[in-house]
Amino acid sequence: MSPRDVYVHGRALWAPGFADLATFRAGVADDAVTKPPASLVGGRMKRGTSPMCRAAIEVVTQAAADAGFDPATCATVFGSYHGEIEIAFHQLEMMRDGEGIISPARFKNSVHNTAAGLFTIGATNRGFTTAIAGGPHTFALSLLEAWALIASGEHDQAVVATTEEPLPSFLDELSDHRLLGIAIALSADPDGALAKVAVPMPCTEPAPHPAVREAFADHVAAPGLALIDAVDEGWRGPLGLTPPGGGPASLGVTVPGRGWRTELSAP
Amino acid sequence: MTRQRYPLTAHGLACSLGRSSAESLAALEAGERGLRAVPFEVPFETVTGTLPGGELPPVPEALRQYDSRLARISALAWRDLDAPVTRAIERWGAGRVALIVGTSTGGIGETEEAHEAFWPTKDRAAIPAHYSYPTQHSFHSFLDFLAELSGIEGPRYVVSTACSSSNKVFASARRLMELDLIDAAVVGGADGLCHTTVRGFNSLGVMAPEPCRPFGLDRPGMNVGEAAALVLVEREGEPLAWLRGVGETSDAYHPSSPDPEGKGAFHAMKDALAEAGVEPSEVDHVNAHGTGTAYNDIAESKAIAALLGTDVPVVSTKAYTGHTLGACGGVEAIFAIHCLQKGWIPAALGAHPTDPEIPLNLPAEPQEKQLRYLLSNSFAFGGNNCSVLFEAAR
Repeated sequence: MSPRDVYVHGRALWAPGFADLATFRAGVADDAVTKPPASLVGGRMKRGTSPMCRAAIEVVTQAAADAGFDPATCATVFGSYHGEIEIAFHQLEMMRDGEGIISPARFKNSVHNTAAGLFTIGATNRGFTTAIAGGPHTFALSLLEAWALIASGEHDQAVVATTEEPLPSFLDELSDHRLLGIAIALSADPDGALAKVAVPMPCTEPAPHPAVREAFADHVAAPGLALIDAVDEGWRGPLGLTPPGGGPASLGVTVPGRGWRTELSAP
Repeated sequence: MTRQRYPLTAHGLACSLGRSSAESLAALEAGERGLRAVPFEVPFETVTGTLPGGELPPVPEALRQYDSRLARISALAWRDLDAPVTRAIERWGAGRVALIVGTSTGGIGETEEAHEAFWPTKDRAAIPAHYSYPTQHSFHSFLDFLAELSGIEGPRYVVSTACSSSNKVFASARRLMELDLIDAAVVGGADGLCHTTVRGFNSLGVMAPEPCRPFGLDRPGMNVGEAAALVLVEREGEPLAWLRGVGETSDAYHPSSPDPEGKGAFHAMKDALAEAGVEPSEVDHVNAHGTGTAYNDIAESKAIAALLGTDVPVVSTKAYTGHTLGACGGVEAIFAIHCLQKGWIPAALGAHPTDPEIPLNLPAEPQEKQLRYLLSNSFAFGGNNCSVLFEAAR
């Protein structure tokens, strides 16, 4: 099968202080922005969800809107290294207290695909969604999954997100990263595209990438943020996603295997 | 457009029926159930699909940083794949073999133990010195372990959509092969028993205090199980069976309850058949998701009856293994391969007497029957549905 070309059509970001990519670009944090609205999903449905889950829903919704995609029909790929780690530890604490019974509301929101499921419910999307984890390479591998959906002809539009929330205190010696969600909207349509993105490939040497804002430099989603910056800067050529051995938020562990890169070109 | 078929060339399984594919499949044929005592204390009554034989062998000393219940179960399943994957690496190259495996909770059991030691004093010094979240608990830790064990250097990632995870990995691997990015992949799933899932499903009120009875009258609910189930799929090779189609849909209904009409499940099965150009009337057997909960079994039976009719034999092998969560698609894929090879359908344990709302053909006894097409269903939290169509090799 000859792969179809894949194009970037939209991008999004949410972090505390920054309700969207435009405010992030402006560089002045708004202290009132503390919780991702995720307004696509009804209030009752969001009860007991984590900030990470709501951030993921928010950035996928924003990226779809940026690209002009219908959230009811586009495919979605939700990536996260740690997933619903805050809820996982909340459940551990519940096990230690009282009768050791955990909350059904928290448990149903503890799975890695919580955001994926709630997004499909909120958008009335009966199509494809998935949830990926690949350690420090999570963004690269989520991008690969989304890229393959379009290149294979299985789907015409896909939004890929990587979202990570702060680690619970039990683990916070490992990394002090903050909440950040990024998303990129991809399509097979060259019309109106911002860039063409090549297949993410393994690499044995680090490839160049724009320096992302320092506060997020070690974040798992940093390669996604670098891709967004590269798209907006008109970057052409190889683009590093993660270096061999781990890269952002590898938590001090050398990860066996290669790094990841892609390439951007004019649409 | 009919999708290309790919040969499934080897598998490795460790589950409550046995510590290898051969042991597990022999127990399945013998009609044994692997539902036994929970291997840790919980404040309620239930049984789980626990691996037999007591303590699990530790991982190799050189890879001790990865040691976890999940890694140990995965290492047992790996034994049957070691030689075939070595051959695949020699044939295709280490960088052309991928590792795409499902899990719902990774190695969280190790963190549960570490946290239990920490909690009374909240003193980090109480955490066992060998505990390492990145290499024992995190989703990808057991894939790094398997990569080190095997020499696989291609893409490796976890698909974690709860109980549909290890069906969806077949589609992920197939896409990468179709695009000529890889030539082979180890797919499947792995989940170990842990407090989080056993207590979690109890909190939802769906855990059975006794062995589950999928589709049965007054069924008591589900049993959580554990397993590692790994399947080698290649671009070319001597097939045990063929991967023919995968359907992936969403219910868009509720975070933890299925659409009561089974519409998402219906479309997942329909899409899997469409990819292979196979008519519903050609399906010879369905390995149902069949958790044994009231809601799942009704919704799934409606979907199966609407698409395939009520004559096709339907079995939930979770009555044998328990619900192995992120591993169940892999476990049931290996059972599917075996059924297709042998021309055999296991009995639908526990399905008789049957819930009168379930209009399916649930074989009370094993059947010898020539099989060509088999659908295997996995459905998950978030309304995430995946159905895989397998074809006999002959």
